[in-house]
Amino acid sequence: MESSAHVTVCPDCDLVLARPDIQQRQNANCPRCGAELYRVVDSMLGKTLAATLSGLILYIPANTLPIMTFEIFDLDSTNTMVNGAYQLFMSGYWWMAFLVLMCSVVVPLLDLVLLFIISWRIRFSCKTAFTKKCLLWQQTIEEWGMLEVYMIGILIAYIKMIDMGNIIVDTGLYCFIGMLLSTMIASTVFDTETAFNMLDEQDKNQPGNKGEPA
Amino acid sequence: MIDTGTQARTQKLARCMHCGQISYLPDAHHDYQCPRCHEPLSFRIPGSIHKTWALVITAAILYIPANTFPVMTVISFGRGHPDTIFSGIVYLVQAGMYPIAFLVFFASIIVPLFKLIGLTILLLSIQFRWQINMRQATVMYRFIHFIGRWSMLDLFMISILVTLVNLGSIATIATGAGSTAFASVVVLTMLAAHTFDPRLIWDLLEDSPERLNGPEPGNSPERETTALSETIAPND
Ligand SMILES: [Zn+2]
Ligand SMILES: [Zn+2]
Repeated sequence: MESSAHVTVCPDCDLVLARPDIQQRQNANCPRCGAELYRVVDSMLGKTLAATLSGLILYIPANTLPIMTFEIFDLDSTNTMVNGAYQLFMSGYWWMAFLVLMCSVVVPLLDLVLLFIISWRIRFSCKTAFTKKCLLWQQTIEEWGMLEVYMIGILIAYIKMIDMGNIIVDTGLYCFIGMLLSTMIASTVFDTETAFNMLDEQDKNQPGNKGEPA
Repeated sequence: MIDTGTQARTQKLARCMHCGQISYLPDAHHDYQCPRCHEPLSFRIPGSIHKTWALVITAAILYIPANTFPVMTVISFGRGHPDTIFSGIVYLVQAGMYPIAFLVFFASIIVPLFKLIGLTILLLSIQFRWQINMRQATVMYRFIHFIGRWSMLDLFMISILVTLVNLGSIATIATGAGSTAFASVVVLTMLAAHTFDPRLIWDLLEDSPERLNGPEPGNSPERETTALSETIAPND
């Protein structure tokens, strides 16, 4: 028997649980199905801001500089993130081109931008309604950003081609790895429910700040 | 006052899938909105079983062309050599690249197959009320959800090779029709995992009270629900 303030519900199995008092840096899992109920990260906003900012800085070189160059005899060709999708599009595989472009170029950028905007707006107590919209958008697209899968794709392409000719790793790849690490740190540190709880606090303390979407 | 250790739905409580807010929904047939994030709110994902079935069946049909049509053609000195996903893996094994062969085999063949079979088992066990280990079923679902993205590996690799090996008459790599089907399988299975509601697995408990560890259904007091409206109703 608990009152509603001390109760939580497991997202995966619908079990009603007493909300345990957890210490900083500790996560809580559902005792019945093992789902993560919530996690606590100290200075979440600062860490997310730092990680997304470095990710955004590296985004432009990672996408425009060549990732690898393949040489055989006197010929060579280079690969950047964008021209892979472009090449597919030009040869008529627009659906595959669209997917590759979305998962490796567009969504990772949107994800970084949204996480940056969200952390910034919570940190500086901007109007909460638009921040909530951003949170929902970020949650929807998050799953479709696949930089880590792309990284393994680069690795496999590299190993496949290594015997065939001369393959050179370019600056773009180092920027890409940096961007990948920043994105991974940001998504590990950031927790949507904690962000919503912070917004609730702001709504409570500054009722005039609620506002309508800008 | 709320009973812990029971299904939230039996106490008319719903957790918002988007923001985690817990709300009291007095009438199951009413359209609710989450008071915190204003997204539609219901006890379970509406039409979850039917939508998941539709996506799984479509993906299973497309799985056939995805594996029989070539995904990539290596053209060197004017001669084309089309590869399906499987023959590409065989080639990697013959070339002695075992770790990569295993990785591609796992990401492109095992993962989509596991997702399709896993989701089918989950859907069937819910519809036919099979006696399954619910915790294992939930863990399997979470694994299916987590692993799905890795099937994109082959497509990324092809997109990289297509530009990397673009040397005119000496060697070029072209995409094949199989890759379009394969891309669709990846997207459809990801959407299927997204539409499936794992809480439905645990709803099997409701009709078989002997599997509950808690009190007998006769003892669970009806009067608790009336007190609830006072504790949670302020959320609208
Ligand atoms: Zn649970
Ligand atoms: Zn909500």
